[in-house]
Amino acid sequence: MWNTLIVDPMLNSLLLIYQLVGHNFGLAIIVFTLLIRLLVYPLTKQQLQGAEAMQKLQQDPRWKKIQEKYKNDRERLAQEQMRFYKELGINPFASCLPAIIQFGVFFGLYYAVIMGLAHAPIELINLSKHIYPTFDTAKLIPLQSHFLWMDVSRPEFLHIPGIPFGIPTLAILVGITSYMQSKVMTPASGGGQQGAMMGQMMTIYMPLFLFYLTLTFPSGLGLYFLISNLATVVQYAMMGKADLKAMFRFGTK
Amino acid sequence: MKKRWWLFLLFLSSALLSACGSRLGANSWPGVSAADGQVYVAAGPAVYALTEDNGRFLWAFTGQDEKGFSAYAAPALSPDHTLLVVGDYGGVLYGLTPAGDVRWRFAAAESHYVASPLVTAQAVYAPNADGTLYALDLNGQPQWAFHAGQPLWGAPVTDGQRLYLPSLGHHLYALNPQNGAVVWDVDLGGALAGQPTLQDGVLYVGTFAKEIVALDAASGKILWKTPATGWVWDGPTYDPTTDTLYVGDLGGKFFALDAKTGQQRWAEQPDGAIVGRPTLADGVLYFPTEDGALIALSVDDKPRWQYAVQGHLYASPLLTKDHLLLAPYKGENLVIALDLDGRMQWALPVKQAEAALKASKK
Repeated sequence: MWNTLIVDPMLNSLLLIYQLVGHNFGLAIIVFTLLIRLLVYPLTKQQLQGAEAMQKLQQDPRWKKIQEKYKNDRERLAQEQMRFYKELGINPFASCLPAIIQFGVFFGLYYAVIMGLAHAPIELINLSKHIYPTFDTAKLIPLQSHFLWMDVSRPEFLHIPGIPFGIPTLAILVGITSYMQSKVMTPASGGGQQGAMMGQMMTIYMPLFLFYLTLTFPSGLGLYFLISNLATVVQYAMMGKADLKAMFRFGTK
Repeated sequence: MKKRWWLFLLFLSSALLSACGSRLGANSWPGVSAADGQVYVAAGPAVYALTEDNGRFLWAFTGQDEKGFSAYAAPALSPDHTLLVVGDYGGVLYGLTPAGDVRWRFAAAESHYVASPLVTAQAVYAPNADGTLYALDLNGQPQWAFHAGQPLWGAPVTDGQRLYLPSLGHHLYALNPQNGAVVWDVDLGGALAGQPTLQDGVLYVGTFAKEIVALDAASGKILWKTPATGWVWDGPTYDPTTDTLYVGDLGGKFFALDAKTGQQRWAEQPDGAIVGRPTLADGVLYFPTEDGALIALSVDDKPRWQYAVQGHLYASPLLTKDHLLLAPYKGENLVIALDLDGRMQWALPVKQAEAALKASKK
């Protein structure tokens, strides 16, 4: 079900783009990621607007009053919260649903990229089962995995003359852009000390995790992370939500 | 509440990405070879040596590198059985003694050794997924390298005069085994992932263009082409008594073809894709299916028996003096030894092999 509805259409779209851009898998990943981000842009916008409305609510003196009044009755507080949402015309799920849909798209994209890389026999046999019959697989395989200085089916290390070891440039870029992305995506710390701590955890943990993935897995995946991160930052900037100064201030916003 | 939501998403994504990422490590199916009463199994993080009569653990080789060792291609033996050559997915080729000691190490390749190397009395020919065929002497000293430019996943074959090398880049090359010079080169219109079959001056190959192709080994001229129903991963098996070729495809069809013309003599459609070539012994064909069945069929298309394993069967069964050896992919057993009537003689469970490996490291 997951494969039929999400991964297979994405994989085959990726392969179609691969053919259209002249059999270059690295370029296909970039174009495909940007197209998907463009398609989910309305959802991103809706998510952000929903999150903003919720944030404003946190600062509303009426809400603070309700919180104070029912601080010892959690059930009543929840009821009052729903009533207050209704009164202000806020849908508390407005930011959750787009996030869930985007999450599905994100994983579909991730699986499609991994499946498409097919750098070993089992992966290639698996790939053959997911390619639509309209493709001429004889021409499609082997997928051309060289892009710039990288082989997107292998982890990337840039070898510079005079330096005895390879530099994981892509992993570093992914780490930096993940940090930037986490900064723009993590909501402002309206939730006090606990919220600030959690926000900080996300801005540290996620870049490190993606840095590690890019360092150890095929660089096509890293390329996807990099473009995806940049696209998010640009999308937030287009909506006027990216504060460059805050982005490079370590800690919470 | 919202912070918890973010944190939940973060941990969920970490778990899912990690789970998916780990699949990248599972790359190929185990490869088996055997000689002088010993069985060698390349099964990812270790190459195991077992006794052939009862599957007793002898030793395991886990590489010398700081990087994770990972080998799947069947270890190749020199004609005198004194050298065992193992290629790993980190791009290192090892020359071992039959006791598992390292004689030499060659680390010039940049990608996986997917195929087994070809070892002759004079040289080792090791195709790598970096698109290069590395020729070494039996002491591991590089002699020459041929750059095909596209991944090499199939083992070469030789008639002594020429070396025939398949490439995922659709080409079949004939090379001079002394220096790697190209004698001829043919584009077959689809990837070649398996070892060609060489018989009486004719080469037979399966391609991802869903064809079985016969070529004149001296000139590279295509003699005939026969369509299949899916990718043909490996080369066919030749039966000299009936002048017939037997081959399966990823569409799950198994063909018997006239070796002279490519005309179909009969075909079967068992369940599951067929990757490995059939093994032929005393008029019986034994071929594996992805669904985990080893099917025994007489050369005149009469069913003999089937043996089902847990996991998938991709590699051809290896015929030794007394056994048919199977190495399932993702099965509970590392190796299963059957007699020619399909009765299990012994099996070595993966857990038992791993425990023996662990104990041997202490």
